[in-house]
Amino acid sequence: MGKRWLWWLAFAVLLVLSVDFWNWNDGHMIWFMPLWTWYVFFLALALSAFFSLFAKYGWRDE
Amino acid sequence: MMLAVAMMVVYFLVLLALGIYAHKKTKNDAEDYFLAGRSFGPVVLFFTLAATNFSAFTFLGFAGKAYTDGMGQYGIMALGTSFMAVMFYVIGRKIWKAGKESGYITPGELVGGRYGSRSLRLLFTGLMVAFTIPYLAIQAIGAGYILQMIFPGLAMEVGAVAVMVIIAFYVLSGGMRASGWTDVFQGMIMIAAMLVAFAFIAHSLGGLGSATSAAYVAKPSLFSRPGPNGYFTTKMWLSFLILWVFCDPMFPQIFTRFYTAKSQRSLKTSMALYPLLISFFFLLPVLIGVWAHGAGVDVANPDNVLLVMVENYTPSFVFSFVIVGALAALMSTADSQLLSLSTMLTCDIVGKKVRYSRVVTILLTAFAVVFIVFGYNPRTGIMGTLVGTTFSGLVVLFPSVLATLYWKRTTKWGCMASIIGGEFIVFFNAYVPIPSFGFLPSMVALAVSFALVFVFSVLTGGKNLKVGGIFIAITKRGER
Repeated sequence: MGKRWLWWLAFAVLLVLSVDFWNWNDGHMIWFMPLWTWYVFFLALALSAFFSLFAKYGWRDE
Repeated sequence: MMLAVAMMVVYFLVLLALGIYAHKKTKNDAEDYFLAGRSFGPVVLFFTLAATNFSAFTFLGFAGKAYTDGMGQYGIMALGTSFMAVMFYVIGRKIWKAGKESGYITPGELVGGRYGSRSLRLLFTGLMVAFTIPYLAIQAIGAGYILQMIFPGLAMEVGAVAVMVIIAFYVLSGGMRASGWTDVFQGMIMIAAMLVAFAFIAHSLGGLGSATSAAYVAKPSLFSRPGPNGYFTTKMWLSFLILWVFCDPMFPQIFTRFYTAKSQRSLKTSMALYPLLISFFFLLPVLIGVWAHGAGVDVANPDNVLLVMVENYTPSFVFSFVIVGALAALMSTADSQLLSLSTMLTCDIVGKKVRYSRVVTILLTAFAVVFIVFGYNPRTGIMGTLVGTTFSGLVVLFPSVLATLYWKRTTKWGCMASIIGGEFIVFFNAYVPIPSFGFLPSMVALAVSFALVFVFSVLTGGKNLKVGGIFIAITKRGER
């Protein structure tokens, strides 16, 4: 419980990263997708990994 | 043609068989029929949450939106829906626990139950029902049009009514268990169909790189934000992120599923797998929609672009399979809507009786059939307003739910003010646009709704008693 804020901090960081304003108007392509689309793709994967870790270590059954 | 018919027949037969099997496994008591006895393990819960949430809009609409507005459609949907999975923890586990401890079956029961307020319960249920009924009719009409792709001579009305009857059959037979099990089957069909379509189209267009290069040459603005029509601004991006996180769990068919988890492990697994599935599944229709420009495909209705691409660039059996996949996406949402509507209308109004629910299910099906047969356009009139404001109308219910689950000082007056105030803004904006400073107007309604639950709860607050993780408020008037 004492370290629950760390989980929320990590979630907040991911949330902030999801509004990637620095990538706006950028159409730089890598293979078959723009760079920013790869960024979104990997961010969703990172979120999945984060939720997996949280479910295992941070979510205590009530 | 014969292959398409065979695929469709097999698909429908599997649904009916699952319905009959679920019927045999379902007892005639309320918890078993409405919530599958709160028995869904991780796999079933994950698939049913996904298949229920991913509708024909995900399957066909994403490609259409990407065709007109570009790759931004992927980010705006994938991130919002992925982050939404945090709600499985924030409200899902508390709803699950309250349901298990207090025997709750409907969303209104939980919100009204904390304050012992029937009026709040009916208000909450009434709004959820009002925003879901038009969608059920739209799904049926959509099914009719999808069936016409395989059977061009079939009247839309006949196909739509046939699909509604099949849905009603397995919902009536096995309740939530049938809905959940068919969702697993339909979810797998949906994912497989999209993967197969994507692979064949990419191959036909010369590979992933070639398909994208051709589209980039034809219309480079599709590949950057804000896109060709300037739709994906940073404010819109943030608005949709917030909207999906708060709105999706307020769909009654999603909310009710939190009660069905066997244990918190089911919720945990769903939370972890949701963004994983979304990361690639949402990408496929968006890329197909964008590639259409490079392939020189021109469609009058953007929502048809995925089917046109499949028809032009894949063998006929893939086209038939994709049609079944689109139907699976649509039906998995429609059956969950039908069940959640009948559950709420029964349990919140006439009592937790399975036989009443079966009557209500038949009435709702008849209502949808009348809609279809008489050619009523659900996008006009008051129904049109409800459809146009569904997401906004549901998102303003969220502050009351959050406060009910977490804040001791919340009162029923705070919840009522929050809901009524939020809905007033939503409907007012439908006729007289309110200033929203580049954000979605629903963000204004959501902010007002949060403010009202706080202010009115403080003004009308009293002593509160904590019971089993959910609070029972005792107002100053001693009313429970």
